[in-house]
Amino acid sequence: MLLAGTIVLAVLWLRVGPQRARGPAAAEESPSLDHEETVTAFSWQLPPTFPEPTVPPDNPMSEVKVQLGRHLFYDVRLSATGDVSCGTCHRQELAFTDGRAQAVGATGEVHRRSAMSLANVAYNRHLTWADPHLDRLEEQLLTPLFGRHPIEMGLKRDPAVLDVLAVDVELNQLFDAAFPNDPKPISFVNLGRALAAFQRTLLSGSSPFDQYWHQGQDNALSSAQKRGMKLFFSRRLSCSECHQGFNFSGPVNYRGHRENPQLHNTGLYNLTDGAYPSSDQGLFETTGRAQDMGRFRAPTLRNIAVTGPYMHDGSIATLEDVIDHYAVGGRHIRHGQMAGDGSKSPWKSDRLHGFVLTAQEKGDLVDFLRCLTDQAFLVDPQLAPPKKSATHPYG
Amino acid sequence: MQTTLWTRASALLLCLSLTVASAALAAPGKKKEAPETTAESLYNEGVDLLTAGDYAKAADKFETAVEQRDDWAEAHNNLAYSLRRQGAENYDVALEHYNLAIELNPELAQAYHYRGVLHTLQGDEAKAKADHATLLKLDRELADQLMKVIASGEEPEGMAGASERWQ
Ligand code: HEC
Ligand code: HEC
Repeated sequence: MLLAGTIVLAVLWLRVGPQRARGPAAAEESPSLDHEETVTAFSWQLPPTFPEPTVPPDNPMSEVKVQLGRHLFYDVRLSATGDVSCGTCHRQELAFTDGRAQAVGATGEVHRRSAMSLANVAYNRHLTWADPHLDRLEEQLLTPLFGRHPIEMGLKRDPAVLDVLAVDVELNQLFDAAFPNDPKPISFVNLGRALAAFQRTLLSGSSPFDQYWHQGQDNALSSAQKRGMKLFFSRRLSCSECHQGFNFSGPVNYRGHRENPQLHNTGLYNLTDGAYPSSDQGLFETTGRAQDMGRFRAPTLRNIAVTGPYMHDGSIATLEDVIDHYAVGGRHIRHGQMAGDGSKSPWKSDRLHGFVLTAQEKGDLVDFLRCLTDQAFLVDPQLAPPKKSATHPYG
Repeated sequence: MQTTLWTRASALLLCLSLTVASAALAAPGKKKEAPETTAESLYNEGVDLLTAGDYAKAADKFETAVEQRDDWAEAHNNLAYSLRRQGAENYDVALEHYNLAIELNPELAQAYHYRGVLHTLQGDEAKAKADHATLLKLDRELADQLMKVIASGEEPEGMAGASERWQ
């Protein structure tokens, strides 16, 4: 009797495993895995402590697809004017940003927003500055390619564009190899798949901070940077409440893990009743809910020293100024059309309470942010424009 | 995976023989323990006390619980926590119980999390970072929380490293 009972229990335990109890504070809603995950033979060159990115099942990774994507990323023939590629606004040496406050498209139209870094973009739970629903790179890239408001690359969804690519022998071969089972490899869908695959390899995780933290290189950080790190992670400044985890960023997504979308109002503007300028009101534009006014995604702070000017509209020039903005708990614009005290905005995140820093502490914090720059990433030849060939005029 | 299954299977064999042995040893007619004093009920009372912030009383409960069930990783983890929260003079004993918890269940993420916190409070950053490295493989969210603790030197809020009630 006793023996039989024990065996039954034992079998149950073997199948279910010991209960994995979790602390009450950690009992967050378990993220839904509504995205299928694919296991592929692709060999990721992940930084040692990074998780494996999620890849959509209909676009598995492969070396040759990544190569094709890299060619396309830098191909100016994908613009109406023939002189703009993704790489024009996403320049490797600037961690795939453009150095401008606001991006400028092929026809000279000024984008209302600042080009985002593409470092570790594979992990972002939702893409672009303020769209919680956009979560596939394959989908995002349709906007710069074909979008009209504003015009970025100004491409027409016209087979003639594909014909131009088809006469390029090298590109032709790459398309064939990347989509071997497709009767018509050169298509807009496959072009997007390849671009997305390439972007998933834009991995940045070997900054001095990583060498210090994960590789035990104590002298990778100066003592000022170590003091700055302490400030960054402190409750007083709470930077790491929003710029979280291995990517120092908003919500992430990787194999077996999917966080909920998150956007915040950081008190940049307060025209009246917390309003942001009508040109860009963040999440509010999609939801129409008052409390979503001015809410944007917290971008990665990796490589932040080379991605200025800062914020969704490039309205803060330097890291020192960004810190001042957080220190006063929101930006106070005294004159002009944008006048208003962001720190008094009713929609400002309650994680932003302001703080006082000495001049030295401020310097330390900026120094710490600089140690998130991954020099190898900025010059990695695998991510650079492929060599020009006679038939293949890269920009 | 394979190894875990084998470890479990052999643990079960052991468990099985112990059960048989103790059944043989048990005096006939000896009363079964009243349910309110089982290790599990003591443990659950301990968790409630922990949540309420009564660390001394919680420690008593967990102490008795592990006396009854010495191989219970979660109980050792919570005992360690309730000891640690009572002050620095308890850090060494707390550490022993974290070590035991991890020995008993090398995949108990919470124990690495709070042992890392304890190492940080004891000024042993290298050991804290080693726990962080293990946590990265077990539970990245707890790992992120521990990273914050190590980098800032501040104790975490909440009780993410405590084990919850037994069901
Ligand atoms: C005219 C400049 C410009 C060009 C050309 C351009 N982008 Fe961008 N990119 C931007 C701007 C501006 C944003 C921010 C858009 C927003 O938030 O609405 C952005 C955002 C992105 C993002 C979101 C990043 C994140 O972290 O969420 C991705 C991915 C991206 N671009 C990929 C591409 C690809 C691929 C191409 C080529 C097909 C491309 N971009 C061409 C300016 C540009
Ligand atoms: C409440 C969440 C939150 C906290 C706390 C927070 N940030 Fe941010 N951070 C954001 C968001 C959201 C943005 C983008 C805001 C926008 O563009 O309107 C941002 C933008 C930035 C940028 C510019 C990024 C870029 O690519 O342009 C920097 C730099 C930055 N934060 C640093 C910090 C530092 C340093 C701290 C601590 C003092 C901090 N943040 C605290 C949410 C936060």
